[in-house]
Amino acid sequence: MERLLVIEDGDEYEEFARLFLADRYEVVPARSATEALAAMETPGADAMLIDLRFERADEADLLGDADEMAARLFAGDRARAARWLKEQQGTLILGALRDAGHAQPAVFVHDFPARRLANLRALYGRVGAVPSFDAQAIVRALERLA
Amino acid sequence: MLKGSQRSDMRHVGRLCALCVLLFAGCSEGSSEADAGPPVAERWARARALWHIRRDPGAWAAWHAIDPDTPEGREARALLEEAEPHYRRLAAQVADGDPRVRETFERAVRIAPMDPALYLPLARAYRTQARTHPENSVLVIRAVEYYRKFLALRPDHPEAPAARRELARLDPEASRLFFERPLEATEAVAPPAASASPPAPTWPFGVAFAALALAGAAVVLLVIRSRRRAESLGELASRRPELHPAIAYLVGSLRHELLKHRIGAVGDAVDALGRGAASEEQRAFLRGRLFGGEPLDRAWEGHLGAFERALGPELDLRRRDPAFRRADRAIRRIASLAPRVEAEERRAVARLARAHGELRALDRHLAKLVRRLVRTPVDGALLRAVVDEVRGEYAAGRVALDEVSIRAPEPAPRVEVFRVDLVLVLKNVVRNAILAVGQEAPPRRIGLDVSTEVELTGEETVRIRVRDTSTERFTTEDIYARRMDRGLGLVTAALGRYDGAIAVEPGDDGWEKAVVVRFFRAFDDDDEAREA
Amino acid sequence: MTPAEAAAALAHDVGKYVARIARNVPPHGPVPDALVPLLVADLYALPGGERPSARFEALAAALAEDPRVERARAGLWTIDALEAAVRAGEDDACRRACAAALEVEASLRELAAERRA
Repeated sequence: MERLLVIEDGDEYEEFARLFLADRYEVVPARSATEALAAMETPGADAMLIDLRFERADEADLLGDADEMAARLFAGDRARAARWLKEQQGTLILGALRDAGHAQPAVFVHDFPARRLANLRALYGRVGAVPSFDAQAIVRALERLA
Repeated sequence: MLKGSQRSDMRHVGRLCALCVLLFAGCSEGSSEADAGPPVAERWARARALWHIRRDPGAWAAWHAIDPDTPEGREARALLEEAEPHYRRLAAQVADGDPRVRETFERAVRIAPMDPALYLPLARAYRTQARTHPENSVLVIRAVEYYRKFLALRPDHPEAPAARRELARLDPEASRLFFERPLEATEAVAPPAASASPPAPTWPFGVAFAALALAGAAVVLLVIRSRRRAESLGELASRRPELHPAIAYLVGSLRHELLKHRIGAVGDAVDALGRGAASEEQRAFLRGRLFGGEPLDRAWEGHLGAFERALGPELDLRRRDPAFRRADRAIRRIASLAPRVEAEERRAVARLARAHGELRALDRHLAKLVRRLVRTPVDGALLRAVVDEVRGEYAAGRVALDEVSIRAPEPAPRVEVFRVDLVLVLKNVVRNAILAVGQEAPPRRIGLDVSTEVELTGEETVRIRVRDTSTERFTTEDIYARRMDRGLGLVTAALGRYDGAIAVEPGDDGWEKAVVVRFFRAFDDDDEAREA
Repeated sequence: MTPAEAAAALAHDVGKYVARIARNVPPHGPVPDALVPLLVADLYALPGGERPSARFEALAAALAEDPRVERARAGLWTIDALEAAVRAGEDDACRRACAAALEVEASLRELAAERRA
């Protein structure tokens, strides 16, 4: 059975995966970039299911430098930059995993605009997106990317 | 007291009279020494004003007459060349009935005037369209207008005789009025020569007479056409981007106060009434929202009045805007149905449902309109307009620039910023750059370019870079800390509203520095379609 | 919050989670007992504990009237009206609540996609 790394700031994705994907995947949860990187080393995973938004995460656990983002993208507004890091955290974690050499397929449960998804694919290779918690669609997406 | 549309008419008559004065002044100027006259920088400033302020069809000749061996002349030629493909495209678009005609025209107009020779293909395209759509008299009027302009400005063009014959068939009165005798060869206007000593623009008296007659006929036509020139909300928004924030506010107010709380809210009740299944609570709710409180038609009139007061006499929602026209009828119908709806007469209920649907359609239409308003393409025409507006200012206009380069990708990326706010931000940055290089010895150069960057999140940002050759040094922190009191405080405030940013970067390739304004790119339907 | 941000938040915070279990309930036969508490959690307490209909109203205030917003509101009202029966595990109520949740998700996703465009 393959392992599916589920990356989110809560437990809804993990619960969902254990309920509806357990016949295909062993579920490995991760709640932050640090946990995801560690889990990819041990026990490892064959694919990833990622939440985009980490609204509930503590700022200290977020990947990305809020001050740098504030200066570069948000006219120095640090609070806005921190919010942006939460809103986009899933993609930044994927970036970190790719930088660490983990090229496994990754599926987001999010409705990206087509151009943005194309950009993510250009950046990170095997990336897909399913707009809702649709177990069959997620499995199909992961199979297509495998 | 003049009505709004009449005041607008008088302004146009005034402009035409000014055109005639200018043309007569040009006639007398033409008899003086070609070498005497204002310096080239001043001539260039006047030529730009002739186009960007007065939209004078004679501006092309004025631009073309600027000595191409001077920086001003090179700039003029570069702009004319940049605009020409857009103007050339117009005739084909008119002939095809392409709805993008206005967009193409606006884009070209913001860059430079049109070669008068191109009036002829435009006239012919409108003539062809007029034959296909005889019910649309505006097409004939446009065709005649462009034939006249072509013949007034290029009477010696090889196709002028054919154009006169075509105009005569289209509008015999106009042709007799303007061309009672054929122009002699000596009266023909020679095309501007690329000579070393730039002559001032000159016009033969025949052309000036034609312009007077044009103004006279235009008074008549303008009175007749005054109602036809009124616009819908969408047309006004296309033509007047500086009104976008006001339009968005007015639309938001109409949608929220009337279309949401009085119309949208009773949707379920209207449906239920139509099915004969409305509860007593639903009936009471519907009565209260539609027929209680301020009469619906009065509330509607109040909103329309606010639009008209704020947006000016060119707007005619009731006659020129189909969506508002239908909604206006729907509102009056609903208001008139009150007693019959309360009695639940079937026909009245059905009519209420149809009228309700019309108002929901208006709401969707307005939502789509406003979404478009706040998206601005960051293209060469926008940057050119910014530079021109800044150079029209007293201080910045006195700086002799050796180079102004502008580069922007096609298709242009869009940002979710009102055009008027984007222009405010960029004007401040460009003004600072021009004034800074003005303090230095030549060469004094500024350059604007647009690029996009993909972020690690897959989103994209649009970078608008303003480079200059000034050795003045300041940092990004200086801008945000408001240590530079040059309007950049306004800039940072505007950027904050739109998730934008500004930064100072070191220069390269002969530039001393760059000030970069950045916004997130708005993905739109075209992007989606291309990716599909 | 801009209307576009509100629409995106609605699709993510309400639409996605309210249909999480509902979308994956087996299409035939009774709703498995094991899924009922999870369905209840999705329909009546978003991550963070807030009721989806309350979160919806808070975010929808930034939006003008729109048929998609109305459809989503109607779906959430249906879900709330069925709460007692869903918590009791009544199959018919669970099925109807699932259908309503999918309608909510579809409406909010359509709204968010259009606001982007």
